[in-house]
Amino acid sequence: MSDDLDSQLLRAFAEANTPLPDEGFHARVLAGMQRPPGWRGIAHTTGSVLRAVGSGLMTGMTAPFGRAMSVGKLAVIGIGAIASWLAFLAT
Amino acid sequence: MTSRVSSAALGQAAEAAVVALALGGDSAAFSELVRRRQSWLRNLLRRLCRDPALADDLAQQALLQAWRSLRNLKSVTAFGGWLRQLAINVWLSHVRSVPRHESLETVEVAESLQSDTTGAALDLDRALARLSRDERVCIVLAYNEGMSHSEISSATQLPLGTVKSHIKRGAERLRATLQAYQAESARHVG
Repeated sequence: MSDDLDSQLLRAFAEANTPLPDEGFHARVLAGMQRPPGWRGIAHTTGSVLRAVGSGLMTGMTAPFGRAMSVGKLAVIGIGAIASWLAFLAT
Repeated sequence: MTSRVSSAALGQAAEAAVVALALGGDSAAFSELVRRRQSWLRNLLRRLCRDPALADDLAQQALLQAWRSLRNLKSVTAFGGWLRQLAINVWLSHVRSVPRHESLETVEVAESLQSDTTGAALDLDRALARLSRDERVCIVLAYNEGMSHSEISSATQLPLGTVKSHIKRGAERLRATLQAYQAESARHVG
């Protein structure tokens, strides 16, 4: 240690660093070591893929509504489409 | 946990020899390293983040990273410094991921001096919580770990001049806060 340090603070740090009781810490680390190494990565990747697929589907389904089109126009088009389909079925 | 070496022999072996066994994939040897280093590592992280539960979580993350990336260790004698750097990186990535207004720091700084908690570690941690994040890491690495200014600069990626001024100003503020705590507790006793 080449830099000058305050002796009072050095003492405060030394006094604070008492040995800590284990309290199950060691056992938790060992349990973590026995977990398959990539389990978090796999879970993260699967989550990302599902999110991407869901987001793509939602984008496709909501694209027509994103355009500058009023609800009234959409309703007229929808009703027209259903009426045409029913008329087609009737013939 | 299996090992080619008995647990009694592991317990008495020099750290470099235990690290060499762990490098060969001996999980019992790494478990011995965890046993030896856990208190130091948890204390270091308690000084950095004050919250004991969070400090233990971060220490656990650092040790698991160490186990999984042990092959990156350059020398068996460098294990302590390498583990400390992993712990600093884990802590830095944690504080960067938490918005400042949600971090414990805000709560800690707002704490009054008349808290019920006593003891050297608690006083020190409360006083450290009043420093800025960068001041705190510089002070902890200098005073807790005995690292030089240039070592701190490379460990934290802060410019050397900034490290020096953080340590100078941080030490002044820390000393003043600790003195205020002592005066306060003396008044309570008296």
